[in-house]
Amino acid sequence: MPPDPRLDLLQGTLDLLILRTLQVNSLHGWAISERIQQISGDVLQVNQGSLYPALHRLEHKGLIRAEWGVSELGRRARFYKLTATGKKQLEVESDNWARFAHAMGRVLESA
Amino acid sequence: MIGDLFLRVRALFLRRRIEADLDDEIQFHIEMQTRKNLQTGMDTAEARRRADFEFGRAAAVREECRDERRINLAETLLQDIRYALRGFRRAPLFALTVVATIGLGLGVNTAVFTIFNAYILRRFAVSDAYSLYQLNWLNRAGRGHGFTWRQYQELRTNARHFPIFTPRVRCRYA
Repeated sequence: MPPDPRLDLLQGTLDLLILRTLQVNSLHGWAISERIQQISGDVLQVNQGSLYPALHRLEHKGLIRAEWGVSELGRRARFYKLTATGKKQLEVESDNWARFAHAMGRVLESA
Repeated sequence: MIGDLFLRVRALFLRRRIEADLDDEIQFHIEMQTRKNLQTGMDTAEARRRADFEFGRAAAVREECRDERRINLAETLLQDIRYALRGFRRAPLFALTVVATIGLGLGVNTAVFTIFNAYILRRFAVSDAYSLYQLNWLNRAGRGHGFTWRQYQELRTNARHFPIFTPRVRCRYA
């Protein structure tokens, strides 16, 4: 059996991914998970069960704001949008992640 | 910070509404996933079943979202209380002043209201306060006078028109 090419998300990375997908425009929950899956080339799978709690958590932290809007298909849907604090947080965490990934790579290749 | 406070207050008062919103949101997600599954050629029942399955147990998700809100509420409340207590310890004189100010304000308020209540709000302790009359007499110069005790007793025995007759005693110290 070939190994599953899909990866589970590392602890704490879901929040960063959500913030990143909302950088350009506001999206509803389903679109967020689709976008993450799409951009990562189907490698990153968002566990639906943890997506919505994460959205609530981010909303309470003031990083995103939810608004009811109308979806592409004309149905009522909840859209999430980055707040100013969220934008700042995204910059900081993206930077942290890049440094972390770079450092991990160096350590792993050094052997 | 203010946003979080707003959400906390909202969660406190609009619990049912928030739960309904969350249900709707989950429902929407499952609908979208079903649609996507249909496009890959599944039949309706299968598409729906898969969408449900992929979402995981909706009830558990709902509970987790609730936890996020509640944990946030309890945690921040505890933090706020601790912060306030630390502040008191750091500036005890200030804390004492605040307590004294609030205490004094409260005390004065209560006292004034008690007087106001007794004199203005509460009715006289008689069966029909509107049939109360005060009797006095005026001399030629227009000065008002009360009655002596004997006059009062005489009036009382003769006053058949008044159901109850009580003296309004005014003490004067000579």
